[in-house]
Amino acid sequence: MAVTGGPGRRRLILALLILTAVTLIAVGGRREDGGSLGVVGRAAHSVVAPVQAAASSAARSVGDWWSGLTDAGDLRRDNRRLRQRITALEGKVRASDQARTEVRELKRLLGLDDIFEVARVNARVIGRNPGNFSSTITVDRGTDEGIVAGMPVVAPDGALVGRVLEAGSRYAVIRLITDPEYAVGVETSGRAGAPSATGTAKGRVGGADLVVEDFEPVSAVKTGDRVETSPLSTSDPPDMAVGRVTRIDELPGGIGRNVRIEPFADLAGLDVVAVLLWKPGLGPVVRPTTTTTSTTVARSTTTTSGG
Amino acid sequence: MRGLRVALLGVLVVVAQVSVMPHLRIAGVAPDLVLVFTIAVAYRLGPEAGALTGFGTGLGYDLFLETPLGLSALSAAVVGYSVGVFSAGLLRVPRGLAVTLGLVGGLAGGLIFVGVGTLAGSDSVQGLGGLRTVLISAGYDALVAPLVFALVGLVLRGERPPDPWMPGPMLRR
Repeated sequence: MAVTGGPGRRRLILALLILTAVTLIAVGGRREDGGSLGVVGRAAHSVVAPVQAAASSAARSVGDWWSGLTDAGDLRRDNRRLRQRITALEGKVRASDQARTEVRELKRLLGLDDIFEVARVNARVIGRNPGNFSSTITVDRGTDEGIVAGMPVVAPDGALVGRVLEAGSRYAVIRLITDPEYAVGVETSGRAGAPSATGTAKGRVGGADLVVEDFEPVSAVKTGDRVETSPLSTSDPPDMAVGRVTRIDELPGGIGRNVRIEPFADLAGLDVVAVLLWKPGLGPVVRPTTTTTSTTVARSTTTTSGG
Repeated sequence: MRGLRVALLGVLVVVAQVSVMPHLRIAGVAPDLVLVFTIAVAYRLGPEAGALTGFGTGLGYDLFLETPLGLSALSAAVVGYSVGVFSAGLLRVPRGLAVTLGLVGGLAGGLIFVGVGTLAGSDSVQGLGGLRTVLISAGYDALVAPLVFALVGLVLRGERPPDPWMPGPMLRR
């Protein structure tokens, strides 16, 4: 506990450190800016990515073992319930496959983009937000697979998960839709007699849901409404499932309302995601070949759909 | 030699913070291992080493965060310095000191992080959600502090100040 150096020198060192830190904060050298600090950040991420993957894999194994030990009875009950549910859902999937084929056919005839036609890269989640103040995940695919910053990311069932924030050669950091700095243009699916409402959905600090503050005051929004990405926004493909309206708080004076949206994607339990090869403002990435690699789930038609 | 040991341990702490700690969240909040490590080093080696360790490991941690770069470095450096000054004035070691330092240091570091982050215009730290996170994180820091103090004590055993990182006049108190 002994102290070295005079108090004056100690204070000088502290002052220099504070000055350096404040300068860094003021300059705002984030990784996505691509500056020299960006290079250091990407290098650090590339080095740590394998460790994150190993830790993630170990945590999953331990977690599975532990829940197997403690929830054996629940698991059997869940298993039975889920089997029944699978049977019911298989019927629905068949019906929806048919509907999807029809929609795709109609969209093709009308010359509209379809997110099912966008090439995607499947990736494993190897890390979750390292800090407490943002919602990000790290996945094990990057620029080697054609992933660049800004591309939308979906869950295996197609529900919107977030957007690529930064990509290295073999990793990508994804900002989740519940992050306070995330925003996406959304619309409610219209009902008979009630046109759809459009607005901007944003994440909240420490929240597991999104908030829309700017739905038009006259538009009809109800609890339970399905929310999708808006065709008015160019940052994401249109009509991607985002979530469901869970709460509507009217602001005093009738000046608007805060609409809470619960994401369809189970963001806390994601193991695998798909990055849509879609550049904001440009549309789907057209690949030179139609080959489907082990990591790319793409139909042959996918790669030739125009942007 | 001591500086090298602290630096190596600091790297390990940052790696553990970004790869292991996210899996050990309580109420969605992970402990700030980097801050607790800084506090432990500052307690043993004084304000100078505390501030430098806090700045270095904080900056390493910042590289993995989406909050403004330098925010963790600033809060950890200030906390490291303060804990060093405080511990230098201790005449005896009270029981539960590691837990208390973890709690108070975690709280102070979290509040500096959120306060300066808000001033810098970061959306991520603002509001009641940010304060709730700071409170839970400080409690968690207090829980892990005895382990981290023991680890730092083990690595620095047999070492005596003065601090070889900074040549200059050596005053011992």
